[in-house]
Amino acid sequence: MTNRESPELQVGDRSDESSLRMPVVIKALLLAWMGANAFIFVAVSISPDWPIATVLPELMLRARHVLLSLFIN
Amino acid sequence: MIELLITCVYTLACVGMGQLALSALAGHEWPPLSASSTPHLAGRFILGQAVLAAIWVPIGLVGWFGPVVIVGTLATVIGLSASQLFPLLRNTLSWVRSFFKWLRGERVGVQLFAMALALLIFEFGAAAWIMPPRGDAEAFYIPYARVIAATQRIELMPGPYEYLSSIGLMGELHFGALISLANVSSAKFFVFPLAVSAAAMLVAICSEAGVGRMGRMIAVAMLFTTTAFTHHIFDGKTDLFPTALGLMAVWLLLAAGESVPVRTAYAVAGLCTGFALMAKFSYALGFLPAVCVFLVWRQLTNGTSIVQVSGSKFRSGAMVVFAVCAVAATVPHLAKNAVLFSSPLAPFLGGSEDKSWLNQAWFTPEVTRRIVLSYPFALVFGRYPGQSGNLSYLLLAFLPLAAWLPRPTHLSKSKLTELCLAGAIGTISWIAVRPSMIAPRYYLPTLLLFYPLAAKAAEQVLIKEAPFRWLGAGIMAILLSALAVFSYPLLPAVRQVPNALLGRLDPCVLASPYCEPLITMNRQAEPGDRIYFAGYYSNWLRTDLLQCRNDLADSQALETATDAAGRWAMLYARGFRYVIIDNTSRLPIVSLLDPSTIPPWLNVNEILKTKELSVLRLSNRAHDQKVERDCVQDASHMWHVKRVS
Repeated sequence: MTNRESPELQVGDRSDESSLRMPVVIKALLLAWMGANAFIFVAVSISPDWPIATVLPELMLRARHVLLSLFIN
Repeated sequence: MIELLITCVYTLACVGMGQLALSALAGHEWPPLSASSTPHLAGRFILGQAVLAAIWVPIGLVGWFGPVVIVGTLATVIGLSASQLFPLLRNTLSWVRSFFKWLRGERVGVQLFAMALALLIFEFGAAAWIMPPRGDAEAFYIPYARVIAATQRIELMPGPYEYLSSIGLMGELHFGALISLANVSSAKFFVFPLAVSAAAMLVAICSEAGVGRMGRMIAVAMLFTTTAFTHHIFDGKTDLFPTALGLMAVWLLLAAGESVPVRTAYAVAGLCTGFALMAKFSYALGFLPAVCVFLVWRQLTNGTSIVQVSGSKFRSGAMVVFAVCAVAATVPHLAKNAVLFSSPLAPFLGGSEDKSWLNQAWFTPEVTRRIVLSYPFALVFGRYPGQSGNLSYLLLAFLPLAAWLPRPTHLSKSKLTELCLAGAIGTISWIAVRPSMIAPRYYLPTLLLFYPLAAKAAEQVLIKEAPFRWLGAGIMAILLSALAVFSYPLLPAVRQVPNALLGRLDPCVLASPYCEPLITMNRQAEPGDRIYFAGYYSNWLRTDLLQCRNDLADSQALETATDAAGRWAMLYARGFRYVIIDNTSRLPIVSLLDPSTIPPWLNVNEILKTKELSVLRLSNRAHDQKVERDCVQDASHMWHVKRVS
């Protein structure tokens, strides 16, 4: 394994003392996001036709439609 | 058990071949074997298997691809490289020791994660060995390899898929060699070391991009929860051969001038790219643009290792070396197609007349639009027909964490930026050219270029999150649950390991429903009997029956015959003794072969019927009907369909 990692990329190194601080709300949102992904994956695996399986793609589609209409108008 | 040993020796020979190839290409320029030589071991294996497959091409074309020549070649390679192989293996063991030393000093959660990951990888190894071929592998890849092994020669694949013989045959030739020496399980198991080597290459890419040990383990977990990758570890398809080569090319381009000398890195990266393109043509649309990004990025950015180490005038020289080696890697494939199709550039120029399979549109414009608009979710959660595997949901889960990564001081020096840009350009290229083909396996290395970013982002949170570490706990929970979710479907294969070790494994256990009826069929059919197989999954037939089966001309004759009774007579006249109809995939033939139109002189008995298959035996009641074709064995033990005079 090469150890030639650029110094500015060593953010994961333990020698970097600065700690990562986030508001609790952001942490909760990130946790919810991770959990949602895991849940949807399991849902899709069990039953591809389960409505929950299409929630994230559907939300993404709607968000894109809104964004597109904003830009076009 | 002996089959695993044969695969291990074959793998060792591939490593040796890689060592010899590197010695020839780079001489002493290739980095010395250090204690941390994992990508070098994996790299030697990935390159070596590609070179060995290239050597099998001329041997197969002249009909020498038998056990004696294969064993002789492997023994020669191992003998020539033995002095360099042992230090390599010793250093790899010391790397494993140093990894465990690091792991012992880590938290329990990390240790648990490492153990669960190792267990999952072991389960995939068991599945690669135990699980019978499935899907396309059951229809094309494994039957073709079995025929190559049986005939000791590369010929057009018998049956209706002969046009597919124009694709790169890297994996098929390894499978053929291992079937020749052992069996299908041995051949399938060969994909496992390849998958582990691909993982080692992803680790090496992460390492170049500054991802720490924990992040690299997360990247491996992401890879082994990517069904577009894991399905092909055990299904018998050959998609992981180009994937491993593609990842190795990326690692070399990233490492050029740092851990690997520039000229050598570009030469080997060129070879890997050329081999990968020949092993999977679709990589030209989705992976080649990503490779071009790396090449151009390194040309344009000042302060990169290439400029520092070799001077600017060498940059264009390195590009030429890359291009020459990439073209050189295509030569065996072009030679194969020149012999088989009289057209080196088949299937694109020459070869089969039907080229529709090269330019497919899978879905209607409406569905295609929906697919394109729902990227990247379609890649992760999509279940479209033909998709055959997704990216890991850990990618989507961890990507938002990248917002908290510190900005690099120079964007041009950030390898994570370079990786993501190459990944984005490659993905956009694919979507632009093949929008309806939602299939990550067609350009998988490109999509894997996003993994180091997500892995690094998750690693940073795990290491640097201030107490209370809710997010870190969440990441560990998601990782462990992902490993558990992916372990569960592999348990049936793991449960069969004791039976396999004791040599008591039923060949049809865990197999598709086509296995048992076709093995029964094998017991009934005489050597060289012609079978009209109206279905896809012919793997279970004997190799003589595979060689004598219906070809494209037979299928066309059946479909174009206007007279219903004439179709039955035509089947008999063409020498068919059996008709196997797959009721799930070839329904139109049911209407073509109406039982009420059977001529009175022809006896048609349904000798086998399952939910999927109907097996009909054709016989002449009075033995007074002439047969136009017969399947006969020649002096070299190959079976040919010949006209009966």
